[in-house]
Amino acid sequence: MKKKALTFLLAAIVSVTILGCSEKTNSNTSKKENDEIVITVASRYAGDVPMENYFRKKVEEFNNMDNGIRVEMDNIATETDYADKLRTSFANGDVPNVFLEFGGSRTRDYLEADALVDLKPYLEANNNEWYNTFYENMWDQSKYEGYDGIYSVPYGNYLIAMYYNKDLFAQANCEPPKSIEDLMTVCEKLKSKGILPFQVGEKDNFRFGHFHNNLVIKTLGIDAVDQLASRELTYDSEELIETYRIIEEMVDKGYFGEDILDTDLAMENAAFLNEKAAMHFDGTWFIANELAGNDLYDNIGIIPFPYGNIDCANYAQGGVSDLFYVSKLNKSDEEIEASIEFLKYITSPDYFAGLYRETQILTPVKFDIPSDVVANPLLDDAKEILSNTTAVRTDIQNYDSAPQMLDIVRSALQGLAMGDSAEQCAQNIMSRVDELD
Amino acid sequence: MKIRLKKIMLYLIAFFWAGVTLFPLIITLLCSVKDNTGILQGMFSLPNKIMWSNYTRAFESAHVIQAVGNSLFFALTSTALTILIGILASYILSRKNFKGRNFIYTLFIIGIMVPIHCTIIPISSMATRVNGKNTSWFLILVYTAFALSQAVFLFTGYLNGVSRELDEAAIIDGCNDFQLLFKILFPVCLPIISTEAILAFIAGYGELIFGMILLSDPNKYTVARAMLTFQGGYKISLGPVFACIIIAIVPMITIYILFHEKVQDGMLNGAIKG
Amino acid sequence: MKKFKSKMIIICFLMPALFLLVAFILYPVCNTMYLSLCKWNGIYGSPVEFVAFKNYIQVLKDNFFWKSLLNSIFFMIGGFFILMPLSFGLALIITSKLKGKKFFKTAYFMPMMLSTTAVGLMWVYLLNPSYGAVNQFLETLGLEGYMHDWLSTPGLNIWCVILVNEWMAAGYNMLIFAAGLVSIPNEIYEAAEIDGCTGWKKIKHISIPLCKDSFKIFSVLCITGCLRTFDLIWAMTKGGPNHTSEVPASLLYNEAFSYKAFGKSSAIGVLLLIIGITLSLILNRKLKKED
Repeated sequence: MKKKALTFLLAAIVSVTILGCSEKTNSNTSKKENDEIVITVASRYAGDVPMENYFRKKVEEFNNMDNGIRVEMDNIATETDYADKLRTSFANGDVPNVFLEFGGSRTRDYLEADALVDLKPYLEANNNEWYNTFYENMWDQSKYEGYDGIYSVPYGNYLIAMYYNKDLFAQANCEPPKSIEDLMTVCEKLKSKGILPFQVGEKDNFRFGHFHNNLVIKTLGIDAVDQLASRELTYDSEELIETYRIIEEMVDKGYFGEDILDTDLAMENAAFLNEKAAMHFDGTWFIANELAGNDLYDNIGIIPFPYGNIDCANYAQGGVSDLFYVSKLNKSDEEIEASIEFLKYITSPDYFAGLYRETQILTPVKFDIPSDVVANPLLDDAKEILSNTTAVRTDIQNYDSAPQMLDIVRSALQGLAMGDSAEQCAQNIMSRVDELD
Repeated sequence: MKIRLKKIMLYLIAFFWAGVTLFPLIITLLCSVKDNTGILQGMFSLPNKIMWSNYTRAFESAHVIQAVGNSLFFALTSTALTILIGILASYILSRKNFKGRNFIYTLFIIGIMVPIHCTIIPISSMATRVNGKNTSWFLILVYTAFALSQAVFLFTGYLNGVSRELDEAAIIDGCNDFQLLFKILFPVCLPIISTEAILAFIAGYGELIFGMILLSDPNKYTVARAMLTFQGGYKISLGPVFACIIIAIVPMITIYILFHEKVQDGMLNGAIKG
Repeated sequence: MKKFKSKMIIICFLMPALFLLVAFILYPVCNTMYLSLCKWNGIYGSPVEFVAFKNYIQVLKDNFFWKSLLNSIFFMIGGFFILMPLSFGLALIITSKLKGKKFFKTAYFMPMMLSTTAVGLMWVYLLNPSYGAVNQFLETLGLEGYMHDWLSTPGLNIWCVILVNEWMAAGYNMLIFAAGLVSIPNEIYEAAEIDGCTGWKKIKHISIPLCKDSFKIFSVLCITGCLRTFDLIWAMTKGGPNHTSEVPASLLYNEAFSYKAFGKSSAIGVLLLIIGITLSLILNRKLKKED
């Protein structure tokens, strides 16, 4: 018995050493044998959904083209895990050549550390050839104040809109709300008929975050976003407290549903899709991910998020969500060139036309819609809303210089669901803002 | 009569707790054949329609069999290394007198309390420097290092409780250190060794962070990483996640039972406490 | 010559373990200590600015840090008063002469084998106030007054996570106690039975005293484990709502990976280590005195 155990241990050790050594030599020789340039691409597109499967399929196609470039993908689907790995790679200088991130203050650090390639010369080469494949209003998240260049290319864009259940609205004799005031009336009517207006999953605290973004953008306007970022407008100003008060009131009256702190986004979606709640605010991805192919599809309508001030009716939370960056930290010129070539490939109109065939989403790239795709009236409505939108901003805190801001505001908004008053919410934010240096 | 009543009580308690600990397995089994709505609207009810497709997706999209194989390989080799290296060090720490022994022992104690997130970046940059990224050997060494501190701590504690009369007898018989350790003490320590083997194995088998940070090659994905396939940002498919868990748990149970038999063997070996 | 040989043995036997310890644990610890005195945004090549004890002052002034520390003290209290008796009891069951031990010991270890994510998710549903099984159970018993919003009530939520943690970790610690129990020779029990020592008495006078080492081991593992606990909190509450169930490890994680404040994060790490070492030393002293 003892002998058996010992031999097992020894065998294990021997196998480990052999494996370790052989792998090392393998990788060394394979790199020398062919002159391919290897670039690593990190993305979150590891999931088993059409859009992400398409991405991986197209990368494989790219690898099979005879262009001397080989792309090694590293895809992690979950947001925090992906961010962990990316942060780690930045910390030890082993950054992927191309990576996916959100814009704004999340990536400003990388720019300040001179780790990002300025893509402007490439975009503008040959008479703006590459630049012109994108819609014009897609560059907001790729530019930074104090810097001249364009540091990323948009890959996905979105718009937060309001989805509503036509049947439930008819039962309560409601019209889709245009303003926050209308929204309150609609909620009251629905409630009196015993229908839940919303079932918000505030356990994922970006839910109120998004709701609040829309309140600010569509009540105080996009200028307020910039003023909040520069602290000209503070989070405890009367204007802002008014926005918290709307949420407070809706929580108090039960418009957001029951047990909102114990509900997460998945449960929120399930409640809306099972007609347990009449409304749901979400990004346009909701159409492709949850509504397409669902029996409920025809019963759902989409409207702009209600405005608080009619002058701000044409603003919205939205914009570019996924952006690809090229890093130059410890990278050779050949690798950078290859990275650009890869980016051009995955932002080409052909690529997006193919993607549209797989799954119908808003895209930052112009392309001719293939004639053989199924009709998608909801997405058409969403596009209509987008075309009426004059300006978009993403998460307000994304424009702030302190990366903690997003959590500070979202946590305090979560407090509203725990019974905090609007004033307390403002105080919670300010006390943590004061701790920042 | 009284004794029988006691026995019945004991069985009742034993079965009660078994129920409390087994129910998640049953729920997982149920959920593994449901879709999202089925899970979210009634996690504990029977499925309306059985979705075997969850399993197909686990096999085809997440390549869960390959992932289980990888995790098994990483966990088993690192467990074997942990036991071997751990018992060697513990023998010295428990049986030899030398300067700095307590200091070294304290270092190992530090090893069991380091928050994992403090080590990620240094270890990952080390991996870059020694070409250890995307290699199995480096990950196995990391797993070994993290299980090792606890192994040394447990083994040393146990060895300290084993009577030294055994050693003396063995030395008189002409045993050298190697023979003393592996022929005499190793069998005596089998209960704690198999226990640590189980703990190290479980830790390595389900580990996510290092497996994710250090490996990028899909052919080397571990179980935990493969399961992420269904937990993307905008769309979560819970059914296949539960299916993956069910598939992954089978080898775990097998190994657990095999190793724990050895704990009982230790009893037969008649360990001497004193 | 003999002395030399014995030294060689010491070095040879210790070398592999020390090598791994230094490379993968102590080097990161030193790195953390160094970073805790600096300001760094976590990007390779960007300046690491020495700020002395500023990070520590910031952490010590931070309310969240003290709250999170209080939460890990709750974890320890739960560990000693719930987990310890529970896992020792389970260890007694699986090492007793009951039939079906194999079944019991597999069942008891099951929560450890299912992933923390799955277990966390399940308990989140069980504890859901409107349709969770826990509240429904209380309702059928007519105990509506005890129904709660378990995971969103500050003060209550941390205890829910602690109980789930004990439920999960009971199997783990059961193994540690079992290893101690099986090494008690049968003869001692037999002798005791002849003296008329059965049942409780047998446990009290033989099993517990002869398992003292296992209790020591448990205590150290419990303290260190409670200080670095992360996974279950992350799976069940993510430290929320509004940071009420934060633990030091989740703060540390957020500072580094969400806010890129690697200095402050490292300072939390070092403080945790200091607290852990101090507590273990005090515990050791206490236990030695009792011997």
